Amino acid sequence: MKRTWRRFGPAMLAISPSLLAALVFFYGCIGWMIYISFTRSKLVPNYEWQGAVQYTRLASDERWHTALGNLVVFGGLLVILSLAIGALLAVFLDQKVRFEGVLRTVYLYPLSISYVVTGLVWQWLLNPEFGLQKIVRDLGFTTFEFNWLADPDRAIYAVLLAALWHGSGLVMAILLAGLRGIDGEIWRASRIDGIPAWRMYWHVIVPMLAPVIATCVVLLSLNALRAYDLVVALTGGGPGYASDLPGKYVVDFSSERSNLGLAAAAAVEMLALLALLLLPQAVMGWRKRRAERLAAGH
Amino acid sequence: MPQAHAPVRFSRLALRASALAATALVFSGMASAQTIEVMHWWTSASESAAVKVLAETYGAAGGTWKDTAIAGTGVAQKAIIARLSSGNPPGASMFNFGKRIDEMASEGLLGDISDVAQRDKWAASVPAPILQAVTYKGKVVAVPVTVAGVNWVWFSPKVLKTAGVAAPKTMDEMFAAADKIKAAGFTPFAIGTQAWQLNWLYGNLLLGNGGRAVYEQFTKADPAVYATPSAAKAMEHLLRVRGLIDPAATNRSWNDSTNLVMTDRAAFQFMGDWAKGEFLSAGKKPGVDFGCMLTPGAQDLYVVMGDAFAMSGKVNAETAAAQKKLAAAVMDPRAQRRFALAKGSIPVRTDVPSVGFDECAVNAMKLMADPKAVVAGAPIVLSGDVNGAITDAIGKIWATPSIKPDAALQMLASAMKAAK
Repeated sequence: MKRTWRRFGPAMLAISPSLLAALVFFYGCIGWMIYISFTRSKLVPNYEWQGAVQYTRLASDERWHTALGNLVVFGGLLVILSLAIGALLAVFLDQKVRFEGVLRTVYLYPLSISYVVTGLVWQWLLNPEFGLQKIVRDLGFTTFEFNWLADPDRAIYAVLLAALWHGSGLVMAILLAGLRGIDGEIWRASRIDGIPAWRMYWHVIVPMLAPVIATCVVLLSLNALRAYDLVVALTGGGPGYASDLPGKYVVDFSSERSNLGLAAAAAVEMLALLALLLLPQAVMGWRKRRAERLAAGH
Repeated sequence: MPQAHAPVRFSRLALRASALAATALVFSGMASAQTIEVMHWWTSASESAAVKVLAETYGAAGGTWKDTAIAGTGVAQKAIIARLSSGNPPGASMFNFGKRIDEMASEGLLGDISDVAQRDKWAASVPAPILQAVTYKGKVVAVPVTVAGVNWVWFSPKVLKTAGVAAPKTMDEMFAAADKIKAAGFTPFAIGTQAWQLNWLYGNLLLGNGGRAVYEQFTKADPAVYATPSAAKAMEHLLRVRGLIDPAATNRSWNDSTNLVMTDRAAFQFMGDWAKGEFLSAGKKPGVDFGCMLTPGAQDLYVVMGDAFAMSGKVNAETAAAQKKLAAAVMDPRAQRRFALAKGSIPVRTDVPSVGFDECAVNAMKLMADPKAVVAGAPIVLSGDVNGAITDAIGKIWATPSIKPDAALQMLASAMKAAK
């Protein structure tokens, strides 16, 4: 113990302010939020314990069910499709094309645009009166339909489209950096052995890039969980609440609906969902570290 | 020579300096005694001009107005609640008439200006629903600043004339007219299919079909209102509107919908009197370029909402005195008149002469003066939660094309019950 202190003492002292800040503002606030979710707080916090009334209301709230369902669909598809598109773009750029720098900037450009502007632009594009539908119809395809914003079953896919356009460039950039980090020797060896390029990518490169891909998955999942301004700017929650997401639900109820208690309960359920998602990864990491420690003979 | 004059110059300088210092002391003393910080979200051109009227009136009464204007209603409301809940509240802050004022008062965060209300006899000049909106458990906690109408219908006289219909007086007449207007090639109803606009529309349809009794049952959040025949008729009308709008109505903002009426492409828009501001700032004249009427079927009622300055509680004696001064300044008849003219609204006092107001405002002021005509609007009486729940339900109803009126009414009733 004393040896640990002497070795790590100065470092621990150095990080103690940020550790304290994290404890208070992060975990302290989460604890406060969990407590509030068990009260009937309306506009201002009210600390009278009321049991699980808010959770009961959430369980029967159709809008919350829609939001959770949308999160699964939106989040799942965002991760999978962003990875696919980003990977394709990265592989394409890795082929030593001529205007790589320019193309990389072009694909990365949407990332610099805020979600609000993204939402607005896509709202205009998806407007049946002067957006894509009208353009294609003017080209001659007079029965072309592309009015996802008005369709309650399709509105969340409009949000997905805008989010894909916005974030694929980042995945491409990260995967490209990962690809560039792969030794040229492997490629030379594959050419000697006569292995086709696509098989190389799928069976060799992708497993090598596993940590990079994991990073992308985490980033994309966080983006999906946090999606709020995109939904507000693009669909306002969709026809009715068809494109609602948990983030928007929590913000709506904590501000204009004046129901802090319900918003806190919804946020706690979001947190529980996130914990569940990260649990396998955490357990695997814990097991791995334990195996390493046992192998090192501690 | 300079040497000989130096002492005189010095003493003159000293005299001037001490005079300046004394004046500064006096002014600072005055300022700290009568300064009031007012938080609000009126940042557009007409709104700022209106706030300036109040600031000038307060200044003329010997006080200093410290203006904290925050753009964006949602952002401003959050900031106001945060300030009030902290230990450092502003002197006064803006609130919509409604449950929020009650909630803040019930947490003990608002002050008491009942003595000013008594002294200036507000009960005689302010309609009862408005005075009730600023009263909590018998104490007056806020001063009403402006009142807005809920049951306005803005219409295009040109479209009505071309379609050969007269301004409707009942709901049935309105929908018969709508069919004729559609046949003439215009859009009968200008609306954006955002849930709040649809909720606004249904509230007005309920009012027009059921009158005061049904509307008040609705605003008291009685789920049984959806079992009344008026509610059923209103729901039928709402579902009929689906076929009477233009294709670009999806998620359109209210002012873009107003534009349809302004450019004579659509006939009617149900919207509060802030829509009038859109017409006026585009240079349109009431009665000539656009028309204003009250919801058909309830044209003898004026359904109100509005804004007030709520006085913060837990303030020192100086600020409390400044609050009382502010309340008196806001309710001053001349200030109310100039404020309403600048903002494009109507005064909360019923004893302000209607000379100089446009014909829509004159009609509203006449109704305001009739105690039987003023009805507290849903935004005043319904809690944010209940209003939100039925807004969600209406949005869902609209997004379900095959829904039957009975199922829709059932959805609304259970939404209202769950949120109470």
